[in-house]
Amino acid sequence: MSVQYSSVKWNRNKRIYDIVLASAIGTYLGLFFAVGKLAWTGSDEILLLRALGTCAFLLLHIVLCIGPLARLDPRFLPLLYNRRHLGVATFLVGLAHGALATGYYHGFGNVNPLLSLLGTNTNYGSVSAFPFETFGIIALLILFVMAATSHDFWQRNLSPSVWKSIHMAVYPAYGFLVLHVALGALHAEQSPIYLAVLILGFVVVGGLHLATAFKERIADTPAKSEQKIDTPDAETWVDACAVDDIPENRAKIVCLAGCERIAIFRYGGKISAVTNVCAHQRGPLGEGKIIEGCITCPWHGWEYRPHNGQSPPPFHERIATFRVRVVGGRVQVIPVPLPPGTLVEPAVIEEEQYVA
Amino acid sequence: MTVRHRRWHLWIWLALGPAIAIGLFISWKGMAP
Repeated sequence: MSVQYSSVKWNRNKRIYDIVLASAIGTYLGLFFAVGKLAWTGSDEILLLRALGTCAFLLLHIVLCIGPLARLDPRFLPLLYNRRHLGVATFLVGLAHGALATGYYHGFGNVNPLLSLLGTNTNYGSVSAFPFETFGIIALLILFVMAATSHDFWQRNLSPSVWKSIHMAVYPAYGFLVLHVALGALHAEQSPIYLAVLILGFVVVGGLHLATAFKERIADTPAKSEQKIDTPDAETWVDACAVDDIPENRAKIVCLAGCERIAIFRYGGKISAVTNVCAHQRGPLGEGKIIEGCITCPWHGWEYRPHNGQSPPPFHERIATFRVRVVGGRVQVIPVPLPPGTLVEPAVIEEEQYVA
Repeated sequence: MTVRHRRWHLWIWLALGPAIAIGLFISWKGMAP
């Protein structure tokens, strides 16, 4: 959370995450190399090249799967907490692959290796001899921008919205890398197994995103008892849910047409409504819980007070709040967001409803 | 995620999915025998 610029705040979780990550990458590269030496007769350089390339590609698949997996099952949330570290590792392994390939295939002539890489093969009209390196370079440049801006410092300076938009470029990067592999390694090896593995990866990544989209769509569909509106105004109370629908210290997320999702929290006999979107990385606040009086985002633990949407001191983040009331055991809100940080008196649950 | 970013996801996948599928198909068809 922001007060001023500071370096990465290392904690035990981050250290364990990075140690496990570095060990996994080292183990993968070692195993790939060892098995490759036994099963393949090519040079060590090409073997290492392929070990790095497949490792980076596998890491990117994992990065892409963590988001939807965390949306489908909260048990994957710990992986999301330090996903950026995984992304930076993906870039570094990919960079090592690119540097080794450039040096090995273009570093022994009189021409600058980078110029040789970009200018030697210009058969863009051919499928079998397509300069697949171009797709790899584009993907690596995208991953570089993402890795370079992965610190919270950049997120605060660019604004969360711009930062998120930049990091959505991971999807085009994935597309370029699929084509890089399809037109490069697959043509070199000619085995249908590699094509099958590539398609399997695409199906897994695409399928998880599709499943998540389907789940989110269901969550956004108002229940029959909920009033659907098209043009919310600042004076109209809209029925959102029953008080009993909300577990203590948790929230119910409602989507009243025409506005963002709203998270309605119940705590200590009171009800407050805030936007479901965290100011940090747009995490789903309504899937978090109230810890020590603060709504805690399930993604990275950012905190907000439920009645005013403000982070506790010394932090300054603010989120939008909504006017809320309880009528006859039902929660009603005015689905027009108030300016971030606006104090809204919580709705009090009547005693008999609270006990029930 | 905001509504805007959910829409971005949708449009990106609507473009990316067919593009990758077509790319894989062209690559497979273009493989030397």
